[in-house]
Amino acid sequence: MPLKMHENETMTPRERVEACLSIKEPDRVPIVPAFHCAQARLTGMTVEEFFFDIPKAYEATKKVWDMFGGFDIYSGGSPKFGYYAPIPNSHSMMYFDWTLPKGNIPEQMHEKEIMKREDYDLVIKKGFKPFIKRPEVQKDFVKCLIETSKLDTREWLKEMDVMPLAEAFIEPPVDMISFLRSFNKFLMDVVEIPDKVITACEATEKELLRTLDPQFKSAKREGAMQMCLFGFSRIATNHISPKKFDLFWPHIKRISEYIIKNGFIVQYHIDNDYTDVLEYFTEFPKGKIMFHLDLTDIFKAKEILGDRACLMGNIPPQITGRGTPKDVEKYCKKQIEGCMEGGGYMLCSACVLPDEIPAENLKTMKDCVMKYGFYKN
Amino acid sequence: MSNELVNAMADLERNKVYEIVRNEIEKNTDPLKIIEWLSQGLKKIGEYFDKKEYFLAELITGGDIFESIYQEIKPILKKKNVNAQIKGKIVLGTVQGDVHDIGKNIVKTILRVSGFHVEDLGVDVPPERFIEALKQTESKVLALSALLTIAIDSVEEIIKLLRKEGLRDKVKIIVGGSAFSKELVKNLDVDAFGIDPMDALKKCQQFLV
Repeated sequence: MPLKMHENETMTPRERVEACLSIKEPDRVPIVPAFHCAQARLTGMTVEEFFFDIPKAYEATKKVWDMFGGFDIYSGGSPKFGYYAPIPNSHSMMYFDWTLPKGNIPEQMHEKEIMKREDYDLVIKKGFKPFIKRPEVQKDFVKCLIETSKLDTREWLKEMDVMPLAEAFIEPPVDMISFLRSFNKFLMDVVEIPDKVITACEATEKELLRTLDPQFKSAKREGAMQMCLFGFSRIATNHISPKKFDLFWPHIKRISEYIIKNGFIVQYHIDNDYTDVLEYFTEFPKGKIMFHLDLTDIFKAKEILGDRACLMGNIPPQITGRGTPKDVEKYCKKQIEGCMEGGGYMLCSACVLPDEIPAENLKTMKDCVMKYGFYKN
Repeated sequence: MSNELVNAMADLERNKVYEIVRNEIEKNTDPLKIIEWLSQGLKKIGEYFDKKEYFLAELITGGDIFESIYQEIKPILKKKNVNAQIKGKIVLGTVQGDVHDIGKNIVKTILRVSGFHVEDLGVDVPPERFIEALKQTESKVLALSALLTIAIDSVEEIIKLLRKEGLRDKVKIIVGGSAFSKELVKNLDVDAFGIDPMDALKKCQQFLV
């Protein structure tokens, strides 16, 4: 039975989200809680328990779903297997040092200089393979896949006609390089040896794009959301100038075009601030890209990209995690009213919801779309 | 003034800066003068940052060039028994529960190259350790860094402990990092919020200079 959250609804969650992605007005603004481990504290578990126990995490997610009457997109379950993923990305323990959750302290990366400046030629020649530190995590990844396959997530979501946040994921070479170099070193490279950085990005594009092919194949099943999460955070314009971003644009554009060519919508999960370079994304046709925004000015994004790209976001963690329900309502109302016109807007957190979000704040977010988010059509 | 050095520093021409500094050292130029010229270059970098001609990447590069030259000059200063003037002391660290240190380290470099003594306590620092360091160093500024919003609980613990120890009105607290926002810090008993490294520097200068 499709999920209905309000008597005035005339669409299922899937229909609502699909309208947004096509930049059409749905019946109301969708509510998308981008969960990390908030379900843990909301159901009385520790973050550590939630992270390591995949079936328990799924049950906690379902419990939260029941507590709040459901949402328009599913994002949930343990984020664990992202850290064991045997593909080059900043979360993979195959390449990077992560401390996994303890009690309610979430996982954190110990970022340090793994790749030296003189290693750019090695990356250009051999890609990211020389930087694999822990090949054994692939076994843990397979275990996670097996555990996840035993859950009834697909059937449960199909029954409600709700889609998951994305079916495929890629991080571009530039972010991978930035984490291998470490943040400061990478930024100095962008200033002092930008051509080398670009060459290394271009040389490793194929290696990263190859990781998408099996994901695309798996997602090409009936009812699956054709959305590919494309995440990057380091070439934001609170780090580098728009002139420097321009050097990386062809690299970002090529990856985006590959995703689109394969029939997927690019979901830019772009942490930090990209306000000053939003114009670049107008190169893409309507309905082929969407944005999950963090620090980027969503109102500016609506102005520049509202006719072609769905925007999702971007209620900050300081408001959802530390504010009062009144603070949450004020912020959400302003954003809904400023962004909903013409469709193509979904209420969501900036990046993920903080793990410590109080239940009343999450309820308030959802109440806001019911109160302020219905269209008059 | 060596305009060539000031400009090379401001233009982030690392190799040129190193070459000029080595030449000046060979000519027995007063090392404090060299530091002064580099500081002038750094000041220009700050001005370009304020005008949005330079961004964080350029700021970090400038700080790194200065820091690496300073490490070369330090032994010469020591040999000549000369101390570069310290403008003030700051205790700095990432609060308990948080191990992120990128922003903290950028601010540390900017503060150090600007003449402050910075006692960096590292990451995941318990509240008591901050208090201990403040007492040991007699610093008047406490700079707290956090990326995770959950770590704000630790900031509140530190403030409670400062009050308990009778230190709250003797120390200025500045916070920084993605955990904070202008609205959120209004509800915290802190004296400043550094929105970026240059802003943090300006606020510390206001507290100490």
